[in-house]
Amino acid sequence: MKRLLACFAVLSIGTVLAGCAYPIRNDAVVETSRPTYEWKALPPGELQDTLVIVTMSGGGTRATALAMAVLRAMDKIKLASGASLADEIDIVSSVSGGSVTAGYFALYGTAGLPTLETNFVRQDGMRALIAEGLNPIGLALLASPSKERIDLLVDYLDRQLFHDVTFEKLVERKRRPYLILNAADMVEGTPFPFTQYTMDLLCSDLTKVKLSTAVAASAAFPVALSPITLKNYRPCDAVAKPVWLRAAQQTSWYLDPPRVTWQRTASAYADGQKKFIHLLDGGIADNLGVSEPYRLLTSDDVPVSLKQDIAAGRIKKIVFVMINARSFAGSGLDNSQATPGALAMLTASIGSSIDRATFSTAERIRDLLIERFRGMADDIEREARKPGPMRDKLREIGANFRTVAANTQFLAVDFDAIGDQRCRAAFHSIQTSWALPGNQVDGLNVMGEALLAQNPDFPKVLQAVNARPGPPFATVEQACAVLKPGG
Amino acid sequence: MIFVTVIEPRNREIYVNGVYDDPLGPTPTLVTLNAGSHIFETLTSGPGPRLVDYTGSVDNVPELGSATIDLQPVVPPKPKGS
Repeated sequence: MKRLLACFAVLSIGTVLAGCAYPIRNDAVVETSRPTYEWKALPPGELQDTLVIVTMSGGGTRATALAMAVLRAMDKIKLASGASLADEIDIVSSVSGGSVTAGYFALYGTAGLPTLETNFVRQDGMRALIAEGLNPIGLALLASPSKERIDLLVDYLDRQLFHDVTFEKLVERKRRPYLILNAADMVEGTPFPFTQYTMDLLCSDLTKVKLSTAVAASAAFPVALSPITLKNYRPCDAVAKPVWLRAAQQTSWYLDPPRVTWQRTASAYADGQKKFIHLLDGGIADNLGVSEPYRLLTSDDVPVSLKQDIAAGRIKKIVFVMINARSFAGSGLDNSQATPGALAMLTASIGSSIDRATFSTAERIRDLLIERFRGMADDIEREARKPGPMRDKLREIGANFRTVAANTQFLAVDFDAIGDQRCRAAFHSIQTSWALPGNQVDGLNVMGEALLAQNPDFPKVLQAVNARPGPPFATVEQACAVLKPGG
Repeated sequence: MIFVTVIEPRNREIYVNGVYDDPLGPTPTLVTLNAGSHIFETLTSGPGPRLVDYTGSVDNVPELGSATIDLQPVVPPKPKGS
């Protein structure tokens, strides 16, 4: 009888669960007069002519901790007003583990960093996620469509940090940085930045999206976690299709390949061809989080029109901090002749593609951007030599691009810059996980600051922002001593 | 990089490719853009929702090309967007 009752209970639960729908994670735009999360609504800080961009890579808690350490180091750089360089960050763009730091920093600024460290970086997230997923209730819930594996991470992020807040909280905060959390469209293989202008393509309201959902989408490591699925509300009347799509559709691919490529995906969203957008770890497309800031600096199609701000002379300097927590953990495969199994091949193919997305962009972004500004200045100044009524204006625009090209400073924070081979290997071997031993967190805390400060361009940045002399920064040697090789 | 000079209508702010937060102008004005196709608009001043009252475009202007255009009136003015 007991067995019968148990079977009935299981069948009943199964019937109820089978009737559950997949979760809806984004809402349609219903009222266009409501404030949205827009760059223009966030006033600049004290450094009005200096654009400060920070990008944070993926890499689990290793990336979260390294990004947190760099923000703390930037907070030590004090300006004339008493504000810090961290307070002056205009844009933060992130992927995966970096998105945890980026999202929390956008909400609470540097004041939130101690909570980030206590409630997330020093917690054993893996144990919490596994415990949540493997208990009987968790297993039963995961058997239904209404609860997906990614919800383990969403719920954990909410419990530890975000407490169900949505992007609306960032609208209310009315402060920079402008937050760009980057996931990837798993079908297109293209970045999906959580911005209102991206959500407009889906006729969806970013302010109703939970920050934990966007962070989890950015960190949804393939296979281990399920994708975050967004609903496309097109066709709709509330939000017109962006005008730039029409212009880009008429543009020859030979003239602007990235624009035409992005247009293809954006049109598929805006035309309603893609009913659902399945989002995975942003690292699949760009593990540094640099692609969207680069687009903002070079495109004529986005509402964050940084390129026109440069042309008009409103932006004269750029400080670009790229935090790369890439690892090179050793693999037993290198020492075994045995044919790797399916799981090992799957893991390696995903991991390699994410590392490659990091490698190619990190090497090129600095030269790409500076050369682009110089090229623009050259083109404009050449045009200004021709007779015409707009010569003076052209000369002015050309000079503005040249000024920015000469005053763009890149600070790359990367374990590759650690000179000592054993120390470098020790940091490279920190696993990609949601749980790190305390000594590794301690080491990352010091190394983030040290790598920022030892960058050859660091003194130029201090000069560019008129930083006041402050306490000395940690050195790489000190950081290496904290994380003893093999420790 | 291309160079587009917008002449008419005079003394108006220009919006490029639907970026309505960031006007360029007043006309006549010169705009530097990436090579390709671009759409230019002016907006009514309100009250009420701002509507597109002039529009024009350039198509596939090659690198270092230049163009001079006059925007054409939109009668009646239409809502923003494609």
